[in-house]
Amino acid sequence: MEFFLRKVYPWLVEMGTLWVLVPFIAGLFFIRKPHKSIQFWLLLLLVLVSVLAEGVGQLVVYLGAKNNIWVVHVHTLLEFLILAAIFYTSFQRALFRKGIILAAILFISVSLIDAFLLEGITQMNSLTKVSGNAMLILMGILYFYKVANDLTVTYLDHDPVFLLSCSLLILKAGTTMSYAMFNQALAASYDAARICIAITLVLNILYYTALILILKRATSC
Amino acid sequence: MLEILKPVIIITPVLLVLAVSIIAFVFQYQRRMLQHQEHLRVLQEAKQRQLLDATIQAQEEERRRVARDLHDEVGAMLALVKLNVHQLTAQSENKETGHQVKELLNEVIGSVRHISHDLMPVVLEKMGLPLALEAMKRSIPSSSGVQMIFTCNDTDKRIDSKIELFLYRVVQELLNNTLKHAKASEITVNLDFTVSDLQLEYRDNGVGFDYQALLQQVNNNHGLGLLNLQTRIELLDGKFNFYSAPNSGTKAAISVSIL
Repeated sequence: MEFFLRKVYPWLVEMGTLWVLVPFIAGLFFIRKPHKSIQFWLLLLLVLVSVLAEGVGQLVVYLGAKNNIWVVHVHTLLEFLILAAIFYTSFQRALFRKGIILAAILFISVSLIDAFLLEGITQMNSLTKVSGNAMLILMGILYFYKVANDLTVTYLDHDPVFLLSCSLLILKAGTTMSYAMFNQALAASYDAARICIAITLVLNILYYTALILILKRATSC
Repeated sequence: MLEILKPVIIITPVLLVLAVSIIAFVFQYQRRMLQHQEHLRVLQEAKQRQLLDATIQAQEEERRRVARDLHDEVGAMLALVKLNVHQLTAQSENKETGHQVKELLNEVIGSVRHISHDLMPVVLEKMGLPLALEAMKRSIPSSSGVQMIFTCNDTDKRIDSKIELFLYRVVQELLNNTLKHAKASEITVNLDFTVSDLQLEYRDNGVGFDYQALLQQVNNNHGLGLLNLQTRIELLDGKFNFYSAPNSGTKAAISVSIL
């Protein structure tokens, strides 16, 4: 554990921070391709928001601020709204669309309450993260239900929203507990918090790698 | 530290396994549904083919019945009438009118025989496809100005009667088209039997037509004859290639398995 925290963890942090640039560069490359769907632009916006969040986070630390967790609050909110928009454009059923709008309203409320009334803007937004993850997992499963019943997609690995749902399901299922326990782990020790961050970093690297393929698929669907 | 992280260490892998299982299930379920859908489509297609086959068989059966009735009943009655007319003419003083009636009767008997033969060629049933096509060649009226060259590598070869009949109908339809529209002077039909299949090639040196344009108009009832030919060959699991262009004549190549 000591070896991991002293040798691997710093390297993992660097890689996790920079890795978001990979899908962003790939997305810029895919812009030249024809037949880009609305999902492509939303996905590119999602990656751009993540790049900006990482950049602003680094900048805030560089400028000498002690806490940059407010960036995570903003990023979580924007990320959820963009992902909800992607699912919204993928569903045709009015019930599902209304559900997504309702989820977005609920999430904005939870996010604001969590940031200003509950955990605070300087603490990790565990409640917001866990509730957002639960809602995104639900949306992903709803999309699974759609593709399994509509049978309009022959090759699922060609469907960008299906791939996004799979990636989100793995990412959110894997990181939910880390986010939920982060504040408690941080209160106990920095190393415990680092373990939580390491889990999210590994899954984020996998998620951003998957985003390259998803962006590619969104240009040809 | 590990005590604090215990829920993370236990629940995270469980959730990940759950997520991967859900994804695998969706993949599997969707694949099964697609396979089921494909199976239904194949069944439906087979049913349609059976229906089409039954319709064509019924049509051929009806043709056979009409041909038999024409030949056995109408033909026999006309022969009887001719005999009576002959006897009446022999007794009558006005032999000229009798001869005219006899000539007319001969024409009617010839027409009935011709129609009956077209509806169900006896030669095809008794002697097989090569000789039936040879008979078809002879039946082309010399007044049409069309010469048919027929070649076959095995004139005594017999194959499944259904294949013989379908191919005979195809050549019959192509020949009718040539005589009606092509303004051709020569038709070449080549029948080539191999161990496993049969190749039939039909060519004429007529004016031809824009086949691709005709295909576009199939919905407007044009080119339905050619479409019927294609359907018949597809029912035999054969291949039907047709080519025609203005001033380039017409060519049809058919390949059917005879195993």
